[in-house]
Amino acid sequence: MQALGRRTANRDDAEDAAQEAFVRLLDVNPRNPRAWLYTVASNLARDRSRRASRQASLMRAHGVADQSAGPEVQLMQGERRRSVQVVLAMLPPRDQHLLLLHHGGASYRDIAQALGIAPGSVGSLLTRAHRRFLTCYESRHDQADTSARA
Amino acid sequence: MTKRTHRPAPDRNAHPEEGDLRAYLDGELTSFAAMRVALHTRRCRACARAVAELRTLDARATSLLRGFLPAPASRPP
Repeated sequence: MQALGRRTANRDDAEDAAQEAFVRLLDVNPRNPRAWLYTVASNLARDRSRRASRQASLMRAHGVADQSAGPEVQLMQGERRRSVQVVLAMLPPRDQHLLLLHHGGASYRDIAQALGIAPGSVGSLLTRAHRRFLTCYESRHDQADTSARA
Repeated sequence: MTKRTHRPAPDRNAHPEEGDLRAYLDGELTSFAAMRVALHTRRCRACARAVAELRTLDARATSLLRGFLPAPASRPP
């Protein structure tokens, strides 16, 4: 179980993987049940772990809050992601692409190639995009604060 | 007689463009250009302030956008 636990994010997943492997064992008759069980349970645990990680990544991408955080934190995270999404949508498409490519880890050369701009202009365009993004984000929050106080 | 023409040497004390400061922070300048910016910002308060401001701008945007972007795919074990 410890070995399985290392392949999964939590103990529950490791236990589920072991249980499922035992259930499958009833349907097959392996020559070495011990080795068979270990291999199958390890593979199941690894699959569960990958699935959980993909799910978390998709949830982040779609603005769903981290389920392991408390309800208030989840609410704030969800609200912040929605705001970021709205503000990004307000920017010109080139700024959106610049920000997403840059913060997604693309190099200036890759950004220039993807957007059809000169590599030497990426730095200044990126700075402008950052300023626009933060100005929009902050003005949206100021408006929200003002309407909440009214 | 052919007339010799040459481009004037770049002014060593000229302030770097804002885009170059940004590229410097992102590690996107050649090592020679990065060294020039580093030396310049050590003796120019205005450019050192501009670099600090760009750093703050980037940190703020990164903290907002980090949660929005999907995490980079991890390699299978």
